[in-house]
Amino acid sequence: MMARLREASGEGLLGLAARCAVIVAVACVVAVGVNAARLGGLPLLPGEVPCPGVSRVLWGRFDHAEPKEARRLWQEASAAFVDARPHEEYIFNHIPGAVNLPYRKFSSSFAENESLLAPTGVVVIYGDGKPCGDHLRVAKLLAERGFTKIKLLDGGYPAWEAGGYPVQGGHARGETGVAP
Amino acid sequence: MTARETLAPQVASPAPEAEPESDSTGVPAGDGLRRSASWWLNLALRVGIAAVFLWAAVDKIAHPDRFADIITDYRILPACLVNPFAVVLPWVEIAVGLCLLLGLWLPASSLLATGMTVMFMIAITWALAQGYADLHCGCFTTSQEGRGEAWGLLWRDGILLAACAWLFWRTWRRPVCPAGSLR
Repeated sequence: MMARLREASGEGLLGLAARCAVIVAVACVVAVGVNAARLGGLPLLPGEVPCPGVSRVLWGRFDHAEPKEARRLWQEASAAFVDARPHEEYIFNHIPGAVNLPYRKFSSSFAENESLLAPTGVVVIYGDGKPCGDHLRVAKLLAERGFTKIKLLDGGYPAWEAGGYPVQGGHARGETGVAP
Repeated sequence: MTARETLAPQVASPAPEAEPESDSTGVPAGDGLRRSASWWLNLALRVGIAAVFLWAAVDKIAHPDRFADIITDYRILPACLVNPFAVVLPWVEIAVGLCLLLGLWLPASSLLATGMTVMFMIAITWALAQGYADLHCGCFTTSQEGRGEAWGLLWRDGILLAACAWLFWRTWRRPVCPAGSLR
């Protein structure tokens, strides 16, 4: 009995590892194939898209706006501004007139503010300045809801504030602005 | 004592060292209540674990971008590995779930299920250690409403781990496979 156990265990460990490898390999092949076939497939090679979780197609649909251009849009009132930061940070300081859509409470926030945003209009989204931060995730969620003219504010709120542009909130360091 | 009672043991006595055969559940196919209870327990575990992994994979496959965001939030993997992991992991869950459901390669599939559950628990523990108590584990849904309390997630995964490890032990500890088995 012990001899049979030793024999079987010796062969079985290799067989077990091989079968695990086969299951994972089959899953990898199917996963890569399905991902390549779907329109919104994620890029698997590093460097194709600078942020994880964004398809090439979607990334190509997002524009970028320097703070100066965003300031022009704000002055002309030709774009809606969306603040993707948590509500506490929005209360602390934000671009005047911006709608707060925190990523973690997106569904409820969007339902409350949907009437303020036109899917066909230009929407400038900003976050806390991280290049792959919550503003990008909110942009994805808005794109899913039919928004087509999305601009990501480069540098986020810190870049806007550093440019000396109007801000609004309980702790505004710059000019206290009025919603356009 | 009648002549019939005297002769009965000699006719009906089984071979003392006979090895019971194994079926796809990895449980010896004997007779009586013991076989029945073990067989049903293993079948329930197999189907239950398979359902968990298949269910967990569906929404991740539908929304790989959201799942990638959730993986990013754990801050464990480097950015270049997030997308490949988000794309492949749900299909490994599907493969393992199907193997368990169909009774194919049970030791290997239950070992992979055990390994994945350990991986999930390590990730949640890591998130807890970093102070992310309000965690989106990405377990069954990628929507933002799917957040859960991290300790509760650990308990749930602990139960799943116990079931996976038990199934692996039950299917792996028997050294001899019957001919033709896909074990």
